[in-house]
Amino acid sequence: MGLDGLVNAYTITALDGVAHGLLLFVIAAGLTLIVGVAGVFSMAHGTLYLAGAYLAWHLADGGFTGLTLALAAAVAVGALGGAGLAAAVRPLTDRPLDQVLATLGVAYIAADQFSTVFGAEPRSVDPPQAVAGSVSLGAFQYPVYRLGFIAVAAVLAVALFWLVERSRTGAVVRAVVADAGMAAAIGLRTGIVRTGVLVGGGVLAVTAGVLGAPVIGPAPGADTTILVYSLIVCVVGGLGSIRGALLAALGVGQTLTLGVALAPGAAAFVLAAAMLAALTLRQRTTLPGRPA
Amino acid sequence: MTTPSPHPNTNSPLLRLEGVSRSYGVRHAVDEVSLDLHAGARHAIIGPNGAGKSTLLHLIAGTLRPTAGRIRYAGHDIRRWPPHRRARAGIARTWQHPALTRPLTAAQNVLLAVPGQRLAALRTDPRAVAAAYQALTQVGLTDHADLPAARLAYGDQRRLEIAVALAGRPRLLLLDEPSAGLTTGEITGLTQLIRALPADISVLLVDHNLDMVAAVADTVTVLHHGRHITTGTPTDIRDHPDVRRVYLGATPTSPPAPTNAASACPHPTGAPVLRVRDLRAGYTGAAVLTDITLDVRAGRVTAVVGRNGAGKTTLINTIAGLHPAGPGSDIHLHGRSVAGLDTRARARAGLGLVPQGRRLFAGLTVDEHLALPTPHPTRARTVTPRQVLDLFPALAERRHHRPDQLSGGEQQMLALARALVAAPDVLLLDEPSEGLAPAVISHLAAIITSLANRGTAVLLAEQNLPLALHVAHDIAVLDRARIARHVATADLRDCPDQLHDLLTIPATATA
Repeated sequence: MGLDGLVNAYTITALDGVAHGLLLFVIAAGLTLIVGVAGVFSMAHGTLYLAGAYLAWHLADGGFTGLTLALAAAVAVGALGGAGLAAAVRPLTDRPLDQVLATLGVAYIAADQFSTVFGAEPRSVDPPQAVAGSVSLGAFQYPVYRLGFIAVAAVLAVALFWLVERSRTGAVVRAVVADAGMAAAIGLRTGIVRTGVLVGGGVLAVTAGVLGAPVIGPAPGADTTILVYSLIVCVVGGLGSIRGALLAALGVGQTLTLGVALAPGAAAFVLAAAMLAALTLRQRTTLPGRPA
Repeated sequence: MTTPSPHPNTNSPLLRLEGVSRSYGVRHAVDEVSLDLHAGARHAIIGPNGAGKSTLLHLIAGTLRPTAGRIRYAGHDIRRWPPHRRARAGIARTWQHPALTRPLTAAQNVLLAVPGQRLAALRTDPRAVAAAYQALTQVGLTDHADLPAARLAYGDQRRLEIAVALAGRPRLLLLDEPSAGLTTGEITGLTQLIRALPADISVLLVDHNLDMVAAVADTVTVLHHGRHITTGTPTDIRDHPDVRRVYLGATPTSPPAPTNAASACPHPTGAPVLRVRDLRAGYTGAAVLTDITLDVRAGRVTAVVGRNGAGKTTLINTIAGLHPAGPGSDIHLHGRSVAGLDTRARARAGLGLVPQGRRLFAGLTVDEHLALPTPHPTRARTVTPRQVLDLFPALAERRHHRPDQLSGGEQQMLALARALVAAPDVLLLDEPSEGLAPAVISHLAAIITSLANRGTAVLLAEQNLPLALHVAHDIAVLDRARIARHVATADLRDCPDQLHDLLTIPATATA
């Protein structure tokens, strides 16, 4: 049977990798645009994810009502968080290191508050009961929620890709990424684009936290983990590039799951080695072709 | 090609370039240049923008490697030597923009360059300190020895750079545009400094200031598009027909056509749409523009010409709001001051910019470029992307291409089209002909003329004099940070030499 032949321990792990990769993409896509457009290396991006994950945990009621409430709250929290960050870094324009410190401070304060409010132990978030079970894929059982998550995240990724790469709004954002001064010289509102991208990136990160809570759950330290993975995705994919972020996120997802499964002894080095290889190759291929 | 030495010197030269080339793909930045430099020479290299002058200095200093040819220095083939080895062998250089350690004092900057010091030494070698002060004395900076480099005036920073170079006890001193950004008084001082250098130091300098070159150099080499044109004394060079041709850019067989729209109305008729008053601008203390006063009228093309580094691009960018204007500057658009507005607000008020280097948005298609500009808020949109594309048939076939897939000419047309979609009242064009083939330039000229005929006010900064003479109604000559002359093109056409003289030999009478 073709399907049975296809389903083995490694493809199941690879499917997990896709889930991780898409989750990382939804988080990192916001960050890569924030860095590309606003030049802000937001150290509080993982914090936004963690806020979403705690939202999901706090509002979880075993049904879809809690999830819907959490998603609605995520949009509000993300928009407020993004606008807050935009306001915080606004006086620090053109001082990237100061912006890093300011957002890092925000991340530390938030992490402290999360521990106080939600406790220091990891929380596990159960998906709504309707999608809590498993389906059989050949000889394996796979969580339904995770399949659903892959579908939703894929839709989000496609929508995001269309918005940035195909719509006029996306063209404006990409123009500001390419040359902010020239974008202003043809009459684009670069300031509003900056704030908009911070707000949009915030909404994406918190939403990803709500949806991804059953995959990477709320726990102290999860914000740092997510931040580091997002930064890797941004740097490997190229700052401000949605295509690059998608490829890099899927790559990091596979490395974290399949790579570790294939080489368990080298688990700690697999991601670093993959990143080094990706950066070395990308350096060679993209530098000369970069247009003026 | 070997250049006969103007010196009756039988000794082997200190520096000999033999057919040295540096290519970037198919483009030859330096193309088989040969020249000799004898001990004690004061040799200048001149040439228009993009002639390969700085590249040649990089090849000698070792910061670039030649793709062909040989470089002999003091009897060694130094082609494969890294820069630090060349520096230790006595080749010192200064950079186009001062490269100093800004928080350190002037004396400390020089001290770093004094050779023979041990890195691990706890106390500074008193002999090294003495050498540093000697170098500072040579350039006349002893009074400022304890000031941080960042706090020195720009002209003094350039002197300090020379002191740093001298501290290494060089045999060959390479100076890259030493007069760039200096005031007339500072240039006089620099000229004296170079002339007072001891005879055991040979000097090779690249500069655009031909007065200074004539005052310090005994030999001048002219480069054009990377090729050696001629070498001779400053007087020979000034009268050389090929040099005049290179600087004018025109061949004697193609004089600018006198029968175009420009000559039909030789006097200002349209109302001034853009008024610039007392505009000043500069970079880190160096004044690039002072007291620029200029009117650009509806339906007319005003060209700003000037030697490279005269400040043409700074002027365009300052008007567009991309570069900060100095205090007291005033820019009026339709009688309203825009000096306090940001770049975007100026664009909305009717300024269109086609910047130097085009500055297209990487990764955006032609269609996306044309969908971005938004129309003037106070009036109905007068053009659509489709109408603009009708002007540029070649672009209409490339609507889904990205800038890196377009030819240079198509890129320039796209930059122009992007500005036109916003229906600007004033179009700022910065070096639109740069790197374009003659056929594309004449197409460009036709478009500029037709835009003016439809009432757009055009301010054109251009190095290509034939193009400027062809399309402009009047010409402003930018020299030494100010507008030296502002004349109707018709008056110049009769005697183009006048303009040539203005650009290459700025008469002291106009200063």
